Amino acid sequence: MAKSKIIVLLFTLIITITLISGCNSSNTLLLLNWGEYINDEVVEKFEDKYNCVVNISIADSNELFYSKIKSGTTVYDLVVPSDYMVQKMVENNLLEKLDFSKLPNYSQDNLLPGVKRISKLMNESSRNEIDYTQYFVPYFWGTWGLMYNKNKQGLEDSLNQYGWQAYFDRSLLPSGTTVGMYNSIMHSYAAVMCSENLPLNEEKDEYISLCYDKFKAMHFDEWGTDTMKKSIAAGNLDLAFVWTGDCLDMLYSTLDDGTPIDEVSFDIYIPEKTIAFMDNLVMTKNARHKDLAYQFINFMLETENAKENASVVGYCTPYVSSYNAIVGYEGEEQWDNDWKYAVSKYYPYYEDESLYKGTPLSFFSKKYMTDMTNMINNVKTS
Amino acid sequence: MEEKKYEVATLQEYGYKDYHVMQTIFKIFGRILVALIVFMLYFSIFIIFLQSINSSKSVTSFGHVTFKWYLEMFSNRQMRLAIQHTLIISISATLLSTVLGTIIAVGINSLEKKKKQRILLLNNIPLLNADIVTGISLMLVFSCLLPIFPYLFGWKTLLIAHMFFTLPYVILSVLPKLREIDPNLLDAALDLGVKPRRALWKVIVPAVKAGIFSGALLAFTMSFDDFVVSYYTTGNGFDNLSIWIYGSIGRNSLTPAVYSFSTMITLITFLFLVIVHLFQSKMVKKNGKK
Amino acid sequence: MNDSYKKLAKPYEIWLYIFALFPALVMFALIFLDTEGINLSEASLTFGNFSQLTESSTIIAFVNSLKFAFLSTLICAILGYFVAYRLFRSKFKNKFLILTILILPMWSNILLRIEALGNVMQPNNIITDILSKIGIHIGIDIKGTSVAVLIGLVFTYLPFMILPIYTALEKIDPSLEEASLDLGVTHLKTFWKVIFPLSIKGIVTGSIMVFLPCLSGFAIPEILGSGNIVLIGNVIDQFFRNMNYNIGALLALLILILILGAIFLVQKVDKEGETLL
Repeated sequence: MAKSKIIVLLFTLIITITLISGCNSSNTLLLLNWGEYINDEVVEKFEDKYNCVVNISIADSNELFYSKIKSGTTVYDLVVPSDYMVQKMVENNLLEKLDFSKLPNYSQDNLLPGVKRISKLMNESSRNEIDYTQYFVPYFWGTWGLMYNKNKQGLEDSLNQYGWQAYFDRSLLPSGTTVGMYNSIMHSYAAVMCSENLPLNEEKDEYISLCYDKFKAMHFDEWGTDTMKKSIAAGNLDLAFVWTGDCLDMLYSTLDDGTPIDEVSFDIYIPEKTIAFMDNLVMTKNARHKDLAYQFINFMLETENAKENASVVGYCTPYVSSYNAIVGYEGEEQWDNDWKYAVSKYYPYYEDESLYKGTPLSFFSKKYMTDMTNMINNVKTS
Repeated sequence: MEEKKYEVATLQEYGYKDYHVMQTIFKIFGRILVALIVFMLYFSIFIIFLQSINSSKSVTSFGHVTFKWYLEMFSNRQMRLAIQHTLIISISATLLSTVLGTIIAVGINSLEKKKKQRILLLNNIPLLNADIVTGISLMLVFSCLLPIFPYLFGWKTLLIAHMFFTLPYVILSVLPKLREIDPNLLDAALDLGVKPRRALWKVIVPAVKAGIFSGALLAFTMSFDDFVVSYYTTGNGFDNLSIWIYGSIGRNSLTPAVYSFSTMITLITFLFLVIVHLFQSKMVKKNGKK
Repeated sequence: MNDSYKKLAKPYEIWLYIFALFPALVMFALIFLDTEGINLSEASLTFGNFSQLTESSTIIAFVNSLKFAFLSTLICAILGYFVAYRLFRSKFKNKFLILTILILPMWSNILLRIEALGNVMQPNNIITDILSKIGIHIGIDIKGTSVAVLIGLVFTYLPFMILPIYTALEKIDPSLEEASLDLGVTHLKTFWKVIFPLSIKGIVTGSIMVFLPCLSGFAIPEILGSGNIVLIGNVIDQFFRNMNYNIGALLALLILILILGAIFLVQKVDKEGETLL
């Protein structure tokens, strides 16, 4: 008796699962995104408006985006890779050329000068004369910087005086400064290239040995990722190379706790030469729901939606209209005023493109990546 | 003749040593150490609990006590879905692996030695292989089926993958218990005309119950917290909680609602255990009186 | 046992061939190739991947892994035996309950647990914050050291040591101990000569269960070692992460073969074999 009960139970279970997840209808948009990188409310608004389901999967690195798309285990409609990964995907013929006539909300003029500049840099670094702008719509963008602990005596001054040089030279820092490096091969490599004013996209063995020497001499206290911003805010770490958005994210949650803006214990120094990045909405070649995908991109381009979407993410919206809506806020709401303050301070607007800081990364050959991996491991194990 | 007077020998002189004091010290010391170790096992859970009732999003400073994150757990759509998926997959994978694993273990147990060793060696692979290799391997196999079933990836592949690495745990928990069964017991049942299938259910399963339970528990534990294998074998948006956590931690702060979920799972299980235990000991007492 | 049960194992054998053996062979092939991910269309034959094995960081990472795995197994064995023995001696006889209580912490995400542990290993953390509110100022700073990693490894995998030892102790016939005590052997000697030898099997099983995840894991050393401690698991993870499946597979298979060899040896020594739990 009991046995048949279990079998019945199992069957019910399987059927329930099928019912719950059996929704691969034509009205489902498959989006592959970074974690917590979209405002659920905006998504729900879109779902209501177009009577569809937006199915979001997440990944935490551009390389994982690539392997997910390449393996084809799921045919995603939209993906949000960064600049260099867009280049790689285009070159490997994974992306669909966008039909901008289906995106009435899109206009070149509505892009911030800084965004246009990154697109331009992407095209300039192209090895095959491809116009990448045909393939993507900017989603968010930002820079990297040196986040530091304001309570550490003398640290702010030495950063302002020496900039990058201070980050790689302990003698220029106040004694006892703890320094962290972002634990990502490409980003730590780029940090050295930026500090030495070298190109980010060339592969040379001497660059790798330069990195080795720099890392070795510096002997970083921590090779971390997201934990570093928390450590700096708590005073456990003094200086680290992180996303500017990371610092803002920390800033917003500190302000949420009721700390006045001038008592925040950390800040970020953005050097003249740094990494800039731009995440973009792109459509995969094999996308099954192209119309819905166009509607989605178009929806996200609407000023109000883009602004609402940016409110949950510490990065900068790429659209002029949304940007102006944020920095032009005139009201009493504390949160909106803090937001306005942070965006206008850390993502300032310049009419002149050349005033914007930052260079996008570019992808490297497999051999070069292996060499870099070994170089960093050699630093850590020696 | 003068009688020589001998002193009465003490116990010590017979070689008796009083260990009572030492034993007490050892006992007390032991209790403290055990308490300390169990505390350390739960230490991280305790910190997670603190973070879950912290009004500040920061994991390093404490604002005031709040329960708002417990509510957010249900309002954060992505997280709610991820929790649902995790529960569906780990519960069904545990049930299936427990039932199938027990049956398979019975099969393996009745094999000849050589064949048995071969299966068991293969059975070790999912346990010992680096997770990432298991994940990519399974993805590879499932990908072969993609041309026929374009929407294959998702709960189906995830369920199979989880069964793949939980089955060995169940099998390895049940097998040693099977070997302890008195073979006469089964023979007696079969001689009495019980069909093998029924004998499996009526004789073998009750005898290895303890093994099945611990196997199921291990299977659930492994499945519930798996990230790497799940990551490579899922698709079409069927992410579980671990995938969601790993993905969310990268560029943003994690919402403390995750800590609430962890705390809640621990507390609910704990309560459940206490109730079961009290219930059982009551039953034992009642039966004892009769 | 009954022959009609033999066929029950057959489907599982096929299942293992499909999901374990076939991919293992593909992984083996990847070692000799230069591919992009698992995309075999532009593969070229090479032996260059093997040069990774002579890279000093790989060797050091491997030695580090062995060192950490060995030390944590040793500490787990000592602490685990102690706890298992006390549990065995206590009046608490509900094994399922003990099992669940020990394993329950593992139902919280490992990343969350390790980060929580890592947080309190820094001088300013949530506990010092609460304590400082009532006037106590203490704090430790061990994050980034080997000690931190060891603490993380030991208290994550300790349950896997306690459970098999407890099971082994439970199986010992109580009359053996009584006999020994009746014959005038002291408690301590009884433990050494009777109980301990009979529970060694549990220690062996537990050691395997602790040693393996310590050897190949990467999350714990990465977080608690502040990224400065590199174990072989980290190296494997890095290569797979950056789409170099060839070197990743090479290192992973190397470890797998070593482990399988060790298991094979254990099976040779332990005639009954497969004693995991």
